[in-house]
Amino acid sequence: MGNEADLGVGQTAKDQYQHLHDTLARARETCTDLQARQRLRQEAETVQAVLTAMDQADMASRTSKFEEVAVQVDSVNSSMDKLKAEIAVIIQDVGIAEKVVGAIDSAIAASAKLLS
Amino acid sequence: MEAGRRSTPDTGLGREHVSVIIYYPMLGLLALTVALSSCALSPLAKRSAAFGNAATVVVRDSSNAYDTVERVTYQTGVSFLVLDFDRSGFDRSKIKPFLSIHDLESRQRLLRGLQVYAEGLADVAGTSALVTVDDHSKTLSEALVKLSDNAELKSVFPAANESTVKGIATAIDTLAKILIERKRRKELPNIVGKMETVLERLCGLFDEDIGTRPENGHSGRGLRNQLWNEYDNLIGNQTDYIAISNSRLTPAEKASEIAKLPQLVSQQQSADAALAATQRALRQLVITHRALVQSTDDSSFRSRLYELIGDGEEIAAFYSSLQTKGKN
Repeated sequence: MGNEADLGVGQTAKDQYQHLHDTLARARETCTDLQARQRLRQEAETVQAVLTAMDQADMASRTSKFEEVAVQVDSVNSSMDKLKAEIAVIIQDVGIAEKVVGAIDSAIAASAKLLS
Repeated sequence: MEAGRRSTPDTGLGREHVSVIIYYPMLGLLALTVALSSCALSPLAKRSAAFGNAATVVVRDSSNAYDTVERVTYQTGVSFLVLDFDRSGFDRSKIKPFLSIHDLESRQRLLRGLQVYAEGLADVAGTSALVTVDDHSKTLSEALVKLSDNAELKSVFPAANESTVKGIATAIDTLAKILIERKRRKELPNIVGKMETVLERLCGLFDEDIGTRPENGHSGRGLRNQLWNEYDNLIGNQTDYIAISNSRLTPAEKASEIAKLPQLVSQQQSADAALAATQRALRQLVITHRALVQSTDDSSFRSRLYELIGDGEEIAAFYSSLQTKGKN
């Protein structure tokens, strides 16, 4: 409950900054006085820094979860690698048969030369 | 002809007897393997391979989402720097990435993991293993044919003609494919099942990261919020630039700079749409992955998959066009 209440307060504060950002953005589109424009730009930059920091904190709060899931994905990928290796063994067996036949052919040819 | 009729030295059996012993079981094995091979590639294997390829597209789009926001954040920082340079000089603090290296790396690591899963699924369930078996079997067949031509061998084993040895190679080829498919049928459902909850969590996290755009006076969240607000700043900075440079710009230059304003508004909307579409693709990825093991209706799975791939390609084209515009 405490967290939800904190989130609610955080969202309200963020909404207020967003409202300020929107107001500044509209003012910057229409203002014609150069000095006022400069002040508005500075304000907009400051407000953006706060909004960015809030979004960064929100993103950073999930980083440990991303790391947890990455470990789980690695575990699934290990199972996949195991299956890949088992399939490779079957393929390898056909390859071995191919080599054995080649070796038999060479051996018979060599024996024939020896016995002739 | 006479040589063909003679009895083999060791067994004392005629050629007909050799045929009965060698050919018939061989034909039986061939018939069995051909029959089994007709159902060799399971729907799960086919779907898994297709899903793996589709997931690769979503991974690329998700990665592009982070890149796009970082690029727009950088562009906005540069535009503030340019406008305030005469007043505050080169202020390094104006150029900052949106995400810290640690935060970004944890997301990239997970996307790489998902990419490995997607590629692994496409590789294991796809036809590459079967093609390799075919290649080996072809070489085996050639080696066996060469062996059957060996005069010494013919003298002790006259039945070893070309068609017989080719039949042996085909049997080995089919047998290997059946063994591979059996292995897949046993293991793939476990792997895909294990990934199901992981993928749900993974896509949910990326979905949250992409967030929402600000709307009706309420702040959004995540990448979409940052992107939307930074575009507002880019638009504001562009109007500042026009106002400051007004007296120095020719009418044509001024018109060109003013024309950039609606372009920025359009880019803001299309970039946000690309992020929103990436969210939808992530949600669709979870549903399609679930359908890998659940759906029995292959046509509905295929249509879901084509939708996912189609969306993915459209999103990729969006991001690509944004990058091009960003460079101009």
